Amino acid sequence: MKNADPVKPPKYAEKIISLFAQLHNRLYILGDLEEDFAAVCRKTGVFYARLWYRFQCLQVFPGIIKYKLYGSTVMLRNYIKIAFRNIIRHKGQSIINIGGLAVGMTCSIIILLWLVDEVSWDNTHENGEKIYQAMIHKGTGKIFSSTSIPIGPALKSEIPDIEDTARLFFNRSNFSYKETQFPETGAYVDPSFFSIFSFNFINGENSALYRPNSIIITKKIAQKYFGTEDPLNKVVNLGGNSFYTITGIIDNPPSNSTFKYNYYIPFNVFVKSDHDPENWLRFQTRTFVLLNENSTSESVSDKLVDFINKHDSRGNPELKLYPFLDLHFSAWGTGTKDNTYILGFGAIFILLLACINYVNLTTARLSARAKEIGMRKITGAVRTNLITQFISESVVIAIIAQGISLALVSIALPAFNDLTSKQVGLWDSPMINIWFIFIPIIVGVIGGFYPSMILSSLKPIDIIKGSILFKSKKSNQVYVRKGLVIIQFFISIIFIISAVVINNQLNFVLNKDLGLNNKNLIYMEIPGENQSSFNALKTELLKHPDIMKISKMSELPVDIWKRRSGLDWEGKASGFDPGMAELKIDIDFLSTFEIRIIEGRGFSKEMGTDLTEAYIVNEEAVKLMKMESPIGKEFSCPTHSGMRKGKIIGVMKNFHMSSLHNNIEPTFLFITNNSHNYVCVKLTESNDHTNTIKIIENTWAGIFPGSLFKYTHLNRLTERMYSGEIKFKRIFNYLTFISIMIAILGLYSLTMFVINGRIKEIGIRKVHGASTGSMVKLLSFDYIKWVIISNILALPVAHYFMKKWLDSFAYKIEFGILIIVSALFISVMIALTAIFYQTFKAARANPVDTLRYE
Amino acid sequence: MKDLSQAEETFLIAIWHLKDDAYGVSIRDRILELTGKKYTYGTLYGILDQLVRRGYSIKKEGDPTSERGGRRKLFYSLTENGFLALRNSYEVQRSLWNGINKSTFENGFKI
Repeated sequence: MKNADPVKPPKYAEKIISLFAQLHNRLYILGDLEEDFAAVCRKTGVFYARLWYRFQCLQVFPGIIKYKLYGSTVMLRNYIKIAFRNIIRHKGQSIINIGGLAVGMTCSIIILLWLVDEVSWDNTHENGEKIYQAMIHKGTGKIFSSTSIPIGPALKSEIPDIEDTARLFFNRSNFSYKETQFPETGAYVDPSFFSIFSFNFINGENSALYRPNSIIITKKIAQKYFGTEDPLNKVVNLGGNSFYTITGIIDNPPSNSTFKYNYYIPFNVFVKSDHDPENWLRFQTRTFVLLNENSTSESVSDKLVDFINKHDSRGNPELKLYPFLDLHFSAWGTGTKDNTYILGFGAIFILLLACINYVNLTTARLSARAKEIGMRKITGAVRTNLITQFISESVVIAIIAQGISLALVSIALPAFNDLTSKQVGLWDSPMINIWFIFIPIIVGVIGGFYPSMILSSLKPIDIIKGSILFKSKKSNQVYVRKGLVIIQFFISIIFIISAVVINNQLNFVLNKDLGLNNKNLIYMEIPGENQSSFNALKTELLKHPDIMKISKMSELPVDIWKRRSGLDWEGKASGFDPGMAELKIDIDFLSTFEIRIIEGRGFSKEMGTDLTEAYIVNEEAVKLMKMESPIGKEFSCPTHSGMRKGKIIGVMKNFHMSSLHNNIEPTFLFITNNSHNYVCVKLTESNDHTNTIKIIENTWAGIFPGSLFKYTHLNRLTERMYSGEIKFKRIFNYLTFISIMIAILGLYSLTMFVINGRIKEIGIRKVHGASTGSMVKLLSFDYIKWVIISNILALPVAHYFMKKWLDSFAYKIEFGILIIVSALFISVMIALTAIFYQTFKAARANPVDTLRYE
Repeated sequence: MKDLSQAEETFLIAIWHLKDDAYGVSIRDRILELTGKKYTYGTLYGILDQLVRRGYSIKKEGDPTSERGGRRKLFYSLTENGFLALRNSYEVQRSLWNGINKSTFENGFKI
């Protein structure tokens, strides 16, 4: 029985349909459905009718959506068509617009790729989170990233939380197979290395290194030495007298991997060749540790304290575990968080610059679109429609710019990879590639927002009257545009100031007096420890007039890595065990590098004890030891044959024994017969040493047969030590250049706009007697004022970033007046070039022409 | 004269049949009767709009009824263009199917 109140269909279903069917047919559809509902109700009762209705609800959608989508794309298709027509009609402007945007996007994309590479460093290792590197803390706060040889296996067997350990030691040898021979870099590793870290094996398995005398090579090496032959099970020769069988081939390491070695050989070989492998106090190899799934580094730290005390507690060392994944950005890695942040911000800024340019240029084309906008409004376009139109136009432009920039990136990427020694590829990471779709949309919407607001707000009446140029809104606009240009200059000046700082600092660092003479010196690595061969070499070479001195040493004096602890000296407080930098040398060392002795004397051939008991320390060491008169005081250092007791015979002037990032540390030298790795040869002053070097090479070949002669100029080494900074500087200079270009573009377009508006004013002034010169001044003064303001605003920001960067250097330039003034000067010059041509032309314009239609 | 698509043809014939009473529900039911095809209201109105756009039909609002919860009906009726289009379609059909009738199909498929 039907009640007086007719039964209604389910309310929610109705609401949903009305939401989706916002066509003009909505009410009719709802009405039809209600009729049907009533019919179904009579047939099957209310309950099933309601179900039926809900089902109908679902069925209605596809049709509605299909027509709704088609319907609402109609206008979009029109907008896109008009957008293309406009782009083609104003080719010049469009090229500048799209080009500027494309350049900005290219920069940002390249830097984005670089950032992704840096941030995803070493993420290919599955166990990454659980891998740590063991480091030793000494009481004085010195941290050694090398540990002693026995620590690895001991950790594994004694601490249950540690699942596995692997040691690694760098190796460089002549790698040869049949006739091909080249020096290659590789590493000694424990076979467990390949189960802790994840490597992709093309051939063989990750247990490959368990075989004695096995070797694992990379694909690159396989191709280099074997071509298309299968390298598996072939025998290669390392260093002339060691043979290894290839048991595995791995993929080339990706650009974001810490381990970029070309080959891996079993750690046992290194242990066998070492004369004191059980010593817990010699820190030589890197030890990596894999923790159990349930353990954390905190849970292990207590056990580590007991562990190290049990084995060797001299000097109160502390064994700590550092997460492997954090290493890249730490002092021992190759990345710097600072550089990453700075470049990241740089990219964002440049993109901002390009967007601002786009906004400026689009609003400048106002008058050209005025008629069209008027017509659209008259024929019924609502403001929202117009906004949609202009935003879609800018999205179209952004998409075109994106396409161009992707092409540009493909072209520029190889050069960029060279510059930064990475191998990033454009399509490497699909996650990033998806963004390529969103970026132009986001850029288009943001960039198009302001222009579309302005353009859509034009009133048809003003357009018809032709008075759009004289509306009061225009001055608002000019403020906004001036503001935008100030922002552009603000950003560019930050770049300029930073570039000035970075370039100056790098010049300073590369040219600073290091405290010793590193000119006209070449160095080579000595194969093997042979005192007599060296003597032979020395006598042979010194015969030559162009060869002044020869010396051998354990490390190069400008880049000393060795820190020795366990030292003793007269008056040392017990328990005080700082490390000092140690350098083992021969008698000619001091004169070869012209190191100055400021107290006492240098090593002398006459004093026999100089070979066995003498030490020379630097000024920092004297400070550390708190000695008033160090000459004659006792000093001893541990060597592998026990403590070498001796006396200090001289104090040398401080020289930079490592990169200028670090302070000069206390250093000591003594003469030994062996343990030397490098030979340095001092040549006469000359621009071209090739002849002399040939002679050295021939002599070398005679004395060290079978070993490849590879030399380097010592001042090149300094460049290599700062290679990271040099790359950074180059990238940064490019960015600065690009930002300057974009800012010039922006200023150029702004002046074009403003001058067009003021052309009548200039005409009137000239008629009243103003000279061309005063016109130029009038027009340009405004801009100079804004440039100076931008400079002032930019200063603190640039200062902040640069201070952080400079602080990574222990020796740095001052961020002083000179920098500020030069940046100001550069920016004013740039601004003037941008506006000069236009202001000059406008100032010279004949009032007759400009005032003709008044 | 552009040809009518299948759907358009079906709809126009249904509207023609229904004379004054062609609106959403009735059109849908009549099509179901005539061809056995079920159309949902979404597609239905879409095609009806297309017919109006093409000029084969015009629409006219009716009065609200309580049956429809107070909403109006929307009546569609044939225009002269629509009538001409139907005639054209009929003639094309006739010449296409000339000489073929039911018994031809009952004889089965032979080359």
